[in-house]
Amino acid sequence: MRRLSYVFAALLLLLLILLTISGGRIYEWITPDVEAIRLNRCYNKGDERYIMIPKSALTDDGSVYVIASEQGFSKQLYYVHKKTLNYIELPEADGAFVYVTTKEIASGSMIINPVDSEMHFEDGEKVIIK
Amino acid sequence: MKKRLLLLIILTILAAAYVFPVVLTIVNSLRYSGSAFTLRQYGEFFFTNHTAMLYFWNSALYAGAITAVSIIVSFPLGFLFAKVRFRGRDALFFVFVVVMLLPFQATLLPNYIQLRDMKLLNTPLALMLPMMFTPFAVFLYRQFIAAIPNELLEYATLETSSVIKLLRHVVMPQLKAPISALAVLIFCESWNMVEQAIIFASEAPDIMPLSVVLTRLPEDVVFAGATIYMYPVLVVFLLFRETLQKAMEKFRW
Repeated sequence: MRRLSYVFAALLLLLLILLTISGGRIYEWITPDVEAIRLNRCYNKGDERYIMIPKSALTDDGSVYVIASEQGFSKQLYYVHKKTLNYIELPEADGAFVYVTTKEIASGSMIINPVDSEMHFEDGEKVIIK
Repeated sequence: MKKRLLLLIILTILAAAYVFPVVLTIVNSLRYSGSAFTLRQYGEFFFTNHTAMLYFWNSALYAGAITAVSIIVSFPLGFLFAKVRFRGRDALFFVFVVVMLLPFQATLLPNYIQLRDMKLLNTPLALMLPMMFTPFAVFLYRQFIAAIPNELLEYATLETSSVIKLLRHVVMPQLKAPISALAVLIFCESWNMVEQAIIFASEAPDIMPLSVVLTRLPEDVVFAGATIYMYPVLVVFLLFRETLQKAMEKFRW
C-alpha cells in the first residue's frame, strides 16, 4: 500500500511537471487557429453608414463568426460567436463585399476571414488568431 | 453501548465537518458549466491557464527550502536548549516560546523593516527567510531531544568528543520519526503562506505562491486549482502518516 502511494505520488508529480512544461503548447495544439480581420472599412450612402464585410467571411447561411476577446489568466483569449446578419449588396459599390448597417455589427469588430464551408464552431468556442 | 454509539455519531459528524470542504472541492473540480463528472476544468486549468502551474512550483520551492533549512538550523538550537546547561538557558528558552506564541501580525513590521533594509523585499528570499528561522521548530526539537536519556549521551561522549559526531550518530537516529513529523508540519505551514507573500512581495506578482494566486484564477477553474493546490499536502500526509502518529505517541509535546 505504501509502495503504491509512492508510485502514485511520483506519477502524479511527473504528470504535473509535464503539464507545466507543455500546457501552453497543448493549448495551441488543441485550439483551432483562424485568420481574422477587423471591420474598419465603411461605406456611406446618404445618411446611412455601412460596414463592409468581405464575402469570403460569410458562411453558407450568410452569417459571420464574430470574435470576442478577454484577458485570460495566462494570455489573451479569443471566443467565437456566430452572428446572422441582414446584409445588402450595393450594386454601385465593390462587389467583393456585402454591407451591413452599424446597428447590426459595430465598426472595429473582429471576424474570421476567410471562412470555408467545412469550418464550424460552437458558440463560445476558443480560437487562436494566426 | 448507547453512549458509545452516541459518541461515534458525534465524532463522525465532527470528522465529516472537517472533511466536507475537501470533498466539496474535489467534487466541484469534476464539474464544468453544469455538466458533472468531466475533467474539463482540469483541462482549462492546465492548458488555458497554464501559467498557474508556475505558481505551484513557486510554492513547492518555498515550502521545500523553508522545511529543509528549518530542520537543519533548528536542530542544534533544540539540542542546546534540551541538553546543554548554561546560565540563562531557561530565560532564553522562555523568550523563544514567547516569540513562538506571538501572532504573525506582531512580528510583521519588524520583519518588513529588516527585509527592506536588507533590500530583500519583493524577492523569493523575503518569503522564505522569516519562516526559515521559526522558534516553533526549535521548541519542538527541544521537546523531542529532552526525551532522549542523558545516560545515552554520556555513554556516547566516552566514545567521541566531537559534538557534531554526537549529534550525527547518536541524537539524529533517535529523532527520525520526530524530524519527519516536524518536516510535515513546517511544510504544510509554509505551503499555506498567504500574508507573507502579499506583504513582502506585493510588487512582484511573478514570485507569488499558488496559495495567493488561487483567488485570482478564473471562477470556472478555481476548484481544479484548489485540488491541485491540496495535492502536495495530501501526498506528504499520506506518505508520512505513520511517522507522524509514531512521533506524536512517542514524544512529549
